[in-house]
Order: sequence, then C-alpha cells, then structure tokens
Amino acid sequence: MMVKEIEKSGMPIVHMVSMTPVALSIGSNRIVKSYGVSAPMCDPEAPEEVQFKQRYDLLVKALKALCTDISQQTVF
Amino acid sequence: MKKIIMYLNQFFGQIGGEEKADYQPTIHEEMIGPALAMAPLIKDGRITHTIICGDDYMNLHPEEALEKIGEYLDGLEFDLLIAGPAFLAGRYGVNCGRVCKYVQERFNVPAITCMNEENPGVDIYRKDIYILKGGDNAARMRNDMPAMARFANKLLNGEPILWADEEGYIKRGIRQTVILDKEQTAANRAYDMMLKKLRGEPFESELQIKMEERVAIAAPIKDASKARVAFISTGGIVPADNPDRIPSASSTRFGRYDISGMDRLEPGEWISVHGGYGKTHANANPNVIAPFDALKTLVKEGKIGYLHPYFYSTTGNHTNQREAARMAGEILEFLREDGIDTVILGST
Repeated sequence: MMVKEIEKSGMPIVHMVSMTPVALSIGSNRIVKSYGVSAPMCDPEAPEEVQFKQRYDLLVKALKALCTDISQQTVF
Repeated sequence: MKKIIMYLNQFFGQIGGEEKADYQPTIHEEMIGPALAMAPLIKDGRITHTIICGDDYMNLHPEEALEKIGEYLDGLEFDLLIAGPAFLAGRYGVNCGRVCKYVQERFNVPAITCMNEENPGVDIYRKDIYILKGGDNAARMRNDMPAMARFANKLLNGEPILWADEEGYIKRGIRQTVILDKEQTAANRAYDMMLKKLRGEPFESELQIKMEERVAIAAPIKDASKARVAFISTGGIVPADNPDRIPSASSTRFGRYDISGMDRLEPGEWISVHGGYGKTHANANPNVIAPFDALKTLVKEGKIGYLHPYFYSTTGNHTNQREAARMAGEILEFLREDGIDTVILGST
C-alpha cells in the first residue's frame, strides 16, 4: 500500500520483499526478490562478511531496478 | 401438510395503492394476490392465511403493527411465514424484513422474504433472516416466486441449507461448516477447478479474491550515483526504547529516526517490535531488516548520490490499508522537503 501511495505521486520506488507473490497481487511495480521474511536483506546463517556482501548486492539490484524502464510489474 | 402464512403490503394485498398505505393490519383465512401464485409451487404445504398491512402504517407505527400481527398469529399453527417479494420497494422491503424478524423471534418459526439486493431492507435485516435475492421490479415476480418456493420447500422439508450463493439468498455474514459428500471434498473440487483452468474452460472461484488497484509505473531514475535516495522499512525496527511506541501490529504511526551520524544500525541500540516474524535475527543485527551498513557504504563509494538522513519505520503487520496510505503520504511530505527523488522500501 505504501509503495503504491508513493509511486502514485510519480516518485519511482522499489519494493524489496521476500514474498513476491504478495507484492505482485497488491500491485507493487518494481519488486526485488529478497531473502527470508525474518531477514530479508541477507541470509542470517551465512558468515558476517558474506551477509554484508549479500545486503550490498541486493541493494545494487534495487538501484538497478529503479533505473530500469519497465512496462509492467517486474520482479528483479 | 405444512402451513404457511403470507405477508403482503396494501398494494399486493389488493387493498389499494399509495392512498391505502396507512391500512392497518388484517388477517384473512384465504390466499390473496401473490399467495395464489405461490401456492402451486409449494410441495406438501398450503398457504392458510394472508396478512396485509399498509406500508406507511407499519413504517410509522411498527410496534403497534407488529403487536397486532402477533395477536393474529397467536394460537395459529404455522410452519413458515413468507413475506413479499418486495423488489426495490424500500418501505415494503424494510417492512417485510421487520415482520420476518419479529415472527422468527416471537414464534420461533422460520420467516423468509425476497427483495433486490439494493433494497434498504437488506442491510438492516440480512443478518437476522434469509432474504432471497430478488428482481428490481414487480415484473420479476415470475422469477422471484419460484426462487422463494424452492427455498421454502427446502426449509419445510428440513433439508440442510447451503451457502448463500448456492441457495440464492443474500449473504448473512454467518459462517457455517457444511460437510459435503466425499465426492465433493475440497481436494476434488480444487482438482476439478484446476482441470477447467488448464483447459481454458470457465470456472468460478469459491472464494473471491479482491483485485487490488494498480498504479501507473513511475519513470525510472537515470543514474543512481546522482540520485537522492530514502529508505523506508515496514519491519518494525525502532530505537531500543521504542520512543514512538510503534506497535507490533495494526500500526497507525511511523517513526522518523536520524541516522545521519551512523555507519550502520548497532545491535542493542535498535530492536524489532514487529509481531509477524521471529525477531532473533533482526535483534541480533538490525541491518538484516534495514541495511544501513550497505546503504552507507554505497553512498561512500558514490554509487548512491545522497541518502536521506532519516529512517522511516513502521510495523507492516495487519496494517489497515487506509492508514498505510496515509502514513506513506506523510512520509512523502518529508521526502519532498529534502528533494528526494527515489525510495527503497523494505518489507518483511
């Protein structure tokens, strides 16, 4: 809901979320498939350096999604 | 042989039109008007009496009208009362509902009616009585009568009454478990539905999933390294003392926290209050929910032009949709003030 409300104003927004089917059904347009529900930004069981890299890479993907022209809802 | 009473207004009871709307209730040991059309459709039952009451009289003097009708019915043996059908006639629909509810409560006998879904009587009485879905004008009588009779016959025969759409009555908002024959288990029904879907045949979902509104896709940003970015989280990450009392669910407010002076969210200084997921990982390292460590690094490396100095945080658990939209609108105000041109929102 919040994603759509912000996008309605014309501001590009990317939705980083684990449960992408929900994001799709709600209507988010730019969606980045994230890790788990209780730790969406990385795998909490991985070693700390790996986790940091995961968060970093996921955000890079999110930025890429923001820069991508899309014509329909897209899961990146 | 079951006994049925019919309730009609002054018009269908053949007393008169609007000029007779103040007609006080009477009972007749005969079938009048629609009762005559209904009678042949009833199996194993007959309509023994017709009660007629003016729509204005009932509307303006409901207690007196109902009391009079109660007196008439007292001492009479009957198994069902049928009122209407009332189509879109507002006073009539409300009165049919009123009479049915009264009879059901006072005499513990089922009472049913029929009217169009838009009739005001529906909203008032749908929870109390069975209202069959009816047409929008009297010309629909020949559809409504069989529908009412079919349902009446089931009731009189003691047959199990199934769900609203199946039986043609208006949803009452009552959930009831119905055990179907083993051929009709959910597994079988799901399989049949899937086959239809695969074959491109029409099928109807048993549960209607409401389609969400879509918004226009915003144009992409040109270059992240020049972008002014803000991060919002619905993961319920808040400072350890939760100063804004962000709740674990149904949140109607968000926190706005200055993260300008930090390289990451420090465990212990930030906690999760979200009631919808296991918080061990989030509490051990809040950056797994709100990755400010990576965000700040990206800024340092020049991959993000500018990061908004505030972190917006709420709990996305059973959040009311209207409240969520309102919160987003308020956050947007702050972002606009800071010339933010793009947002990353992290959910859990």
